[in-house]
Amino acid sequence: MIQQLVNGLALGGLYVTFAIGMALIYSVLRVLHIAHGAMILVGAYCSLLLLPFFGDNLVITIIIGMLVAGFVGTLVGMGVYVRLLKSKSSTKYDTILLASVAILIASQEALMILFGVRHKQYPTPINSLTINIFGISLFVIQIACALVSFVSMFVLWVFLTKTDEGRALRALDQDPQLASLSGVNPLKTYIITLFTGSMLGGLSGGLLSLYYNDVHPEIAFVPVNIALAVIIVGGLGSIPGTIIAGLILGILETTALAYIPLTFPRTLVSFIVLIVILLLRPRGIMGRP
Amino acid sequence: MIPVNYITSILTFFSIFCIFAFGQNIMLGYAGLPMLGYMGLVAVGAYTTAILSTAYNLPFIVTLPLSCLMTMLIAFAVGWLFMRGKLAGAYLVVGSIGFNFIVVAILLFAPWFGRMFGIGPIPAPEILGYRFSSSVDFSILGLFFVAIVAYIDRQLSRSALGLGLKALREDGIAAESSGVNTVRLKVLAFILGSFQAGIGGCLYAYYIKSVFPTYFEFVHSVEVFTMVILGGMGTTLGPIVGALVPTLVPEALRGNVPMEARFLIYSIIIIIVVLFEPTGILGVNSRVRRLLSRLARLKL
Amino acid sequence: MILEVGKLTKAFGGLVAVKDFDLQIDDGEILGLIGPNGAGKTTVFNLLTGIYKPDSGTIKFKGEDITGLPAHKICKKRISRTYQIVRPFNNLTVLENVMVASFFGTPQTSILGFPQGKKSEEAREKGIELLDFLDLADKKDQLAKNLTLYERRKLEMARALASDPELLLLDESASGLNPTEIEGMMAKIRNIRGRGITLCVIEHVMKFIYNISDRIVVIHHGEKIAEGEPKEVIGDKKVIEAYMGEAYA
Repeated sequence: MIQQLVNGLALGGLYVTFAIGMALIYSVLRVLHIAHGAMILVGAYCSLLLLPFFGDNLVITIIIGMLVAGFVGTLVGMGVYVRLLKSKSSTKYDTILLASVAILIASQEALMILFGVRHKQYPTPINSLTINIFGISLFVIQIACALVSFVSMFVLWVFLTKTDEGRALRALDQDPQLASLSGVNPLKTYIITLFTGSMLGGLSGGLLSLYYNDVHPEIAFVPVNIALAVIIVGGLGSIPGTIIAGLILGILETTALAYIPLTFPRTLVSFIVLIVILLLRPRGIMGRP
Repeated sequence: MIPVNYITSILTFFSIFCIFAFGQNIMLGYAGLPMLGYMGLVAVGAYTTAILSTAYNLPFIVTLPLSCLMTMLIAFAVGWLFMRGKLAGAYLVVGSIGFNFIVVAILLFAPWFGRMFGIGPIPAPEILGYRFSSSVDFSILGLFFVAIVAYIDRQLSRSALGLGLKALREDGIAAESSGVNTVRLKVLAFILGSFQAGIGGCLYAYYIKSVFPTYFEFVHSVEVFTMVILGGMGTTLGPIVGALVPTLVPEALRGNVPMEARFLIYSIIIIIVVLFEPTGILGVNSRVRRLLSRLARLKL
Repeated sequence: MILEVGKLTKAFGGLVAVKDFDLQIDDGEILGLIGPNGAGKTTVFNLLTGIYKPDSGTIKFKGEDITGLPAHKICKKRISRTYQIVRPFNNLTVLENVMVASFFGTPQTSILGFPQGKKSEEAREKGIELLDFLDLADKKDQLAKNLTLYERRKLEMARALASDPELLLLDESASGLNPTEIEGMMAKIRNIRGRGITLCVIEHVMKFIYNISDRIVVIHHGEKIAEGEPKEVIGDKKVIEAYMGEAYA
């Protein structure tokens, strides 16, 4: 029972880490950043493939994965989104959405070509490591995922509330016109948002690939879908809402899997919650009306 | 010597994609509704045709309109639910993705739809005693319906209703202040755009002879979405050009290039086109369209 | 009295934007609505035109209660408005912009919500006539996004007029315009009144509002603080206090 809960929190924490990146980018750029899934791939592939170069030190490779993801995400955001946002077309957000999806698909295919189709695993059986706490045996990897996720949420909170750049980000989210009048530099804030969000995406990618012990171009597909559900259920533009929703959906999913036959796709749990929320309370748990 | 069957099968698929693109164009191009679950509606049409023709032995003349009707009913229900909740933008995107997933899930798990094994084989359609069974037959049938759907699109585009839909896309609030009942018109856009899903779904089912849930997954909805945006949103020629892309590009790449690279190149093409022409190749103010109108003026 | 507003109140979260606001507009007059930034002028317009629903209060138009009706119905009841930051249909032509309103803004529409019985030719001719009146006829086939600010303002007015309003609400039509354009705008507004349309005008440009209004209502922090003829209101102590610290033309 406790195992279930920790498992749910770990998975939920990872969903949150990933979804928050998407939520941040949405709140500042108003773009549904599906290509954020590519950050998972960057994070996962970096943390696995760089191991031999850094003496099998997972912590270092995950951190490198985070940073690389940050750079890649910022490049994509500035090169594609910002450029398309300047268009005067009334359907530019749909075009941006298409570009985002295309970028994700392109990344998946590129990785398949570069690194092959086989699912890769991490060398040491980290997944089976357990710890005994208060007589209950828990998987180290789950605790680690949950902990890292919560720590990164805390760091993000500090960033958003205590630093100038973080406050600028929130200002741009709340009221773009007022923000630019108050001296907030939109481009600089876009870059910071993209970098922060993508870093978190990369981190979640490294951790997700560890959690499932699987590195493969298609591991981003499910998290992206779930993240979409998370940010809507939590409320578009609400960071606390995203956190709550991510944790709830993570816990729901792990609990559901225990009681429902394996053939039932996991994503469906989140999508059912999504549809229910859309019908009953479209603005989400903590969305603004 | 290129085999006739090869060309006609490409033509058939082209026509079916074209019809889908026209439908999505009404929702996305005219009304500006970012619906990303079009294949969910197509599935309704295709499965209706499949069930009616296999279990009830109904002829083409009956299955076609019934498929359209069924699809439009579901579209009305979904559209009304979404619009009642004033869903827009990102909500609509995610909601329509959810719709697609749920449709596929129902088809996979509910007992009446054949689950993973789908429904089939579907008998060939007959009109006035003539059986459409060969690739040539289907390509002609397909192109015939493309012509009809294109005509409807042109009429819609020039009508007051079409103007209202476009106003919705441009500025919903201004449209509402000018007298447009935006909620009703959005639902109407859903219904009008699903008509083509009914036709296309029906033809699709007859052509591929059996329907499986995987044919209507979200990834395919992205293909339809791509067609409309690449071709030129909100125009009558746009969907036609857009449908050429998934038909011709994979064929052009077939010979020399391995399969993974095909998708990669395909997605890169999408990104490049979109960066240069955000409204699509034949979009409202695109370079190609301006070139064509200049050429037209020169000739006259 | 063509418009009678009683105790109109609207709050957003904890912030009260409009409080117990009363307003009477007489047939055929030009009423000016002024007040410092953030006083609630545009909110009043939004309430009158159905963009917002009032929390309490009544709105009566020609004796009929229209409180809480959605925006498209209010347009069909013959109240039109323009927006402070213009909202043209950017990728439609100037003529198409106007035709949307003439198709959808008049009472005859079918159940499904689209126009019925209105012939395309009629709407087109009427549209061209309106564009002519606003000196935009030569731009009729241009996309709205290619127009200058002054032209877009006029287009917004043309569109508002296309739905045959009896009451026209203009929200800051003069802001951002140069003096010649402002003169032009004033002339057009007088002309519109000459056609029998009642007007309510929000404006910050004092010279404009002073010259054009028959009466002025002053709003501050969501409440009416003064009302009367321009001469009286401009000299009113409360009004000057409200504006103290604000530079005006």
